[in-house]
Amino acid sequence: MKPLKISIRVSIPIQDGYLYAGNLFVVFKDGTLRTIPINNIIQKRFGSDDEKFNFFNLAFLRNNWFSNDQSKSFFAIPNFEKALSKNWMQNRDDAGIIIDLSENDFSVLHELPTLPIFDIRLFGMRLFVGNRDGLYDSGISVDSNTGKVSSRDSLERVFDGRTTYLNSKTDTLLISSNSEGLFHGNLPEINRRLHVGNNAIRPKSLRTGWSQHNVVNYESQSHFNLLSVEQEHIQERTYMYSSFDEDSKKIKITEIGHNSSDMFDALASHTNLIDNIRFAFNAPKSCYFLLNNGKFVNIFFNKYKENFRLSPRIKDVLQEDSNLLPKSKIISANIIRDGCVLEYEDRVILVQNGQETILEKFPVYSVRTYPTSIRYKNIVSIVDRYGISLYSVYPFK
Amino acid sequence: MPLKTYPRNPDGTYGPTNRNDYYRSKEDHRKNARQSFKHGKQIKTRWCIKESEEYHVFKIANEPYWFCRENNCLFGFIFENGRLLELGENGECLAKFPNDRNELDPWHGYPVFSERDENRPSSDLLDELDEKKIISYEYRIKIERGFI
Repeated sequence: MKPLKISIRVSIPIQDGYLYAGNLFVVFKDGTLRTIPINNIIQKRFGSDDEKFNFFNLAFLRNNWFSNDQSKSFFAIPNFEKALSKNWMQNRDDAGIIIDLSENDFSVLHELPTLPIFDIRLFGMRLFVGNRDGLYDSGISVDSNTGKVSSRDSLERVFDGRTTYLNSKTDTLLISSNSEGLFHGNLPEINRRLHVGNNAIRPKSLRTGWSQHNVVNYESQSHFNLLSVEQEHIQERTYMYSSFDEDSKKIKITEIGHNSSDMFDALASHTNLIDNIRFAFNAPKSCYFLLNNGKFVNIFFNKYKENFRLSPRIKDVLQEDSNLLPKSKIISANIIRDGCVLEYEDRVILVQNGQETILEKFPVYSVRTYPTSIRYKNIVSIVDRYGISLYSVYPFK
Repeated sequence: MPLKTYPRNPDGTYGPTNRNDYYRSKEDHRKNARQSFKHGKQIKTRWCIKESEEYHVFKIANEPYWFCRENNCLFGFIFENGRLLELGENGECLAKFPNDRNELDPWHGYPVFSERDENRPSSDLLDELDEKKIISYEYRIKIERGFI
């Protein structure tokens, strides 16, 4: 089934957006970073007495409840899943639920130093913004009654290399600085600023991905290296993922890139593939390749940490030959729980359980998914010149 | 703005542009050139447009002078109907015309991706192209991040 869509139209132009801690963080082209609680957005369309208010709140704020361990018991009850699917079907609309907002519906969190921003990331109750001048960091807090965000400290530069892509996991932020290299920062403890290492882990980085055991560093859209990750289990976590966090994993990343392997070695069983890769990206357990011949294939990472080689088995991602995936250049790819979102020049396509759905049919500013988030693993946000669209992906196969 | 074709001069060059510059297409970046790879990476990118259309891309970059000081080159592209036209056979949408020539020599060029610093217009040039609405904001950000 197609995703639910909320289409938020904002009265003045915006450049980017990010979901975190029940809030939408939006970069406005006037140079401000503003926030709004997501349930305030939904309330604009449906009053809190409207039964749809709860359904949309659940779908967009707690989509993980449809697929976590507890949900297995609920959805084992006859007709539970059927009733939810019926609601989904009734509320699903290609155009989406349209909600108009003015800039005054948002609260200003910060004035940004330079536009455009290249990437934005929130984790560990901290905000990170990357642009051509570097990486900026600020702490945030969320009011437990109103859900509103406020800043705990100023937005300060913590890294002065051009910052084009950010990726976080547990206490670590990976900073891609293109030809200046790949850097990593870590949060030493709560309320402290990010500490970024002086030396690049790799000399070039366009973007990164996390696999189960490694960091995947993409030097170009079609070439990567695998970098080892050392982590330790700690007794008490010294920072929080978010104020609503209930996950109890306590992991600290201690070292990245002590060992590494180039794509040629990792794909030693697939030498015929190497010269035909148009675009590569990865999920925690597998790597995806879009090939020059239009094929879209998937290869699993080796399950043993010490072995960098990818599995010799190769699998087609799509059940049938695609009629939606264009032959033109792909710009970005993002992972969701059971699939991915592909951004092309003129469209954005959701690929889930081997099938494709068009999400947008025009060029967009940014496409984001939240694979390391607890709440938003199955949410997609797309920013374009008219505003921001949120998609809640249907949670069942 | 569809790509125009231009006649070749008897000496094999195209032009001149209104800046009095000439352009010469290079065989090793043409479609029929032998593909060469080093560690899986293509060494010489190849145009997917006609030789006489290369000059059109050059002319568009040369006449308003989209010159990038950081990389000592002109960058060209064709932006039409809200999209960047593919110029290279791997989907490259930018063309680089390096200024590594003697003053009176013709220019040459080839299609590039913006992944590498030396193949990406500087932020200053992109600011200018964005301000003059020569390129859309969507593409400007993606070029600057190295994604196109």
